[in-house]
Amino acid sequence: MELHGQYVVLRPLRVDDAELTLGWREGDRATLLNRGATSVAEQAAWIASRPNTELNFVIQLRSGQPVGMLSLVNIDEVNRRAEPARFLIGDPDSVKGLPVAVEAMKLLYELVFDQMKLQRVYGTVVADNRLMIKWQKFLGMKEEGRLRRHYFIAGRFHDAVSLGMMEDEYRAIALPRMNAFIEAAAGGTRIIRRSQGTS
Amino acid sequence: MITRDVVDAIIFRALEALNAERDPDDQIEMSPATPLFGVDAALDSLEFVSIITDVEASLNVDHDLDVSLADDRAMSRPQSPYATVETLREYILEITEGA
Repeated sequence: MELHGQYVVLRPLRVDDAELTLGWREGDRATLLNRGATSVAEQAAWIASRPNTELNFVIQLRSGQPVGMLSLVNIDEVNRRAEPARFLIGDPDSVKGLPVAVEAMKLLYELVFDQMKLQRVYGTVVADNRLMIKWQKFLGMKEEGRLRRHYFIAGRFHDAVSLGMMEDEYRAIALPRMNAFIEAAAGGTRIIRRSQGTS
Repeated sequence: MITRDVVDAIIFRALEALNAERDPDDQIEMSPATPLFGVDAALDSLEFVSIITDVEASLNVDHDLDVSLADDRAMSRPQSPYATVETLREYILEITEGA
């Protein structure tokens, strides 16, 4: 399954993405993610063993260049909920000036609410990861609680903030906001592209 | 009515909060010309959204202005309101005019 947007494509994570995605996971930007594989072989084995309750994507530009990753995990069709996870822009320089991160989340939410007909997304973020918490709230998530000493990362325990969003909140608040952000953020890019005769 | 200086101060406060999270040798410049979103910007997506949410919160809490900086009014403009501190300031002044 591939999800196509104006700027990005979400395509399935493959075993041969192991080296690339391990490099991203070992970068500074992934410091507050859960500990992952420590070798390409471990990463490849991890990718190969993903259960069918998960959808794992590589975020790539329309040119085909991979720039990040994003997953939907704990897909529960009985309770109609799932957890967006492992969101990481691994190649930030390649996405400057493009609303790549917002559009990637929008494509995932369209999958969740329009195609899979789920009614809720939820997740936890390390409490120290203030930028990610703001980001998730900007995209419609609401804070639902705090889980004390929930993660052990980099040698110490961290609280987690629990976040969630219902389908009606997505349609009323998050989707219009994401659409407006993508259009507004791309304003300058459109001018540059017009002057280059590419759009 | 909110003034240009007040809006600049709100945006700079948001940048200061962001700088507090960055390395001392990797600080965002405090200037009207500072790029916020675009190929020349030093901010990544999460940092940029942090600026937007902090500015919205300040306008709401400190100035009783319930504005969204990512709604229909921000779309389809010839230049992105997010390009620099100055374009964001002018956009805020425009949408809060008369408020």
